Amino acid sequence: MMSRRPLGSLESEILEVLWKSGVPLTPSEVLDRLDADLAYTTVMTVLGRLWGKGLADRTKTGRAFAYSAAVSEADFSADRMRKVLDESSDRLATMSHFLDGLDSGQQRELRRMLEDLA
Amino acid sequence: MSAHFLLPFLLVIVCLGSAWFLARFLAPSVGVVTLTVSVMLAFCTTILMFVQLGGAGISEVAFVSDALGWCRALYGGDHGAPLFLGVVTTLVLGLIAARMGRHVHRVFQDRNAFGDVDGVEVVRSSQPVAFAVPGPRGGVVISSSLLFALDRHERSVVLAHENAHLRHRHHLYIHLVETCAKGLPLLRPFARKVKYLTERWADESAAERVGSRDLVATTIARVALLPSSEMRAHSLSIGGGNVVTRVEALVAPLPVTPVRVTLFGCSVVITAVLGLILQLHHLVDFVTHAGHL
Repeated sequence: MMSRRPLGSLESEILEVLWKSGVPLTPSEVLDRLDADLAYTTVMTVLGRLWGKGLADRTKTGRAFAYSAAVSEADFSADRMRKVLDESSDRLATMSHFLDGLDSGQQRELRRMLEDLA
Repeated sequence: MSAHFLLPFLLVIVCLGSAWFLARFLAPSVGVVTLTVSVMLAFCTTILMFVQLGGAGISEVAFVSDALGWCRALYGGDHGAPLFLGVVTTLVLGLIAARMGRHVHRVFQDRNAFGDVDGVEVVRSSQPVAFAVPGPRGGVVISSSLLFALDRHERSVVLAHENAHLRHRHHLYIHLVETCAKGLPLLRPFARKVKYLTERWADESAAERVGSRDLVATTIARVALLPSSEMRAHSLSIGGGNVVTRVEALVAPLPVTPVRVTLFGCSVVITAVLGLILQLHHLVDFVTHAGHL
């Protein structure tokens, strides 16, 4: 199913793999960790795109590159990032699926649960 | 107004009520599908009821009846609904169509704003935000403040969560139920529930990917507690409880769906389909009768 998916969402699947793994991975190692039937070259292309965006580092290992997730403030110079936020931060907030707002009671509740989890 | 207009409607209310109740015991993925199907069936049934009422009422007007060649003698001047009801329902139908049209238009506008997202994109923002962008290319937008606040495990949770949204096409369910709810505001709580359940679905899916429900719970709680300048201001107004209940659900044991609940679920869907068929039957009946010369 994933093989029919566009490169864009494939990119975040592969970045997920890089973040999950603590060590650099070659394209074939990434391929092993994806539960999808993908071509080696597709994985290589996507890794190359991540590297180009500054979301991955790469080092030469033998004949292939090994990629690891990289995030540093310097990589995201202002001109590389989207400038949609001034005019549409409201829209950004409404599009965010990861969280909703919290009141102070809920914040207390969450802190207590975090302590329990730790 | 005769009872046969209302019977399918009652069936649908039973179906919606049970789907709401069932969702508590179902795995989030099953809950999303069950509720979405129920909402759509409820929407179709209600709209069909309006169409029939409108048609029946309007056809009371001699001019309309004559113009369409309907046999007035056959009905004895009574088509099942008074004229005023016909006019009112027709106006309501127009209003529903307008509201839904506006909503769809807005959805497409939002889509255009992030339509060029291709892959993972980092956005400079003080709001700790991440969201999936479905589309021909698709991708995930993450704000820099979220990225730098998390370690790599938590980052992979965020991505796994957003990837689940993309992989399972959650936006389709959400757009469907939200459009229905725009037309019929009574469906709004169901749309909210579907939205919440897609989040739960993505949470559980992420937990499977990273191999730990606790890690997902911790990440969600931590992200929600990150300071954000703008969002706090209007955060109180947003129907909260969402994040807290999501974390609670992740800490609690995984919901399993017992057989009798599944059977009950099937009967709910069958009830709803029956309701819709009954309604369609009425409409076909009405149209064929009306077409009689």
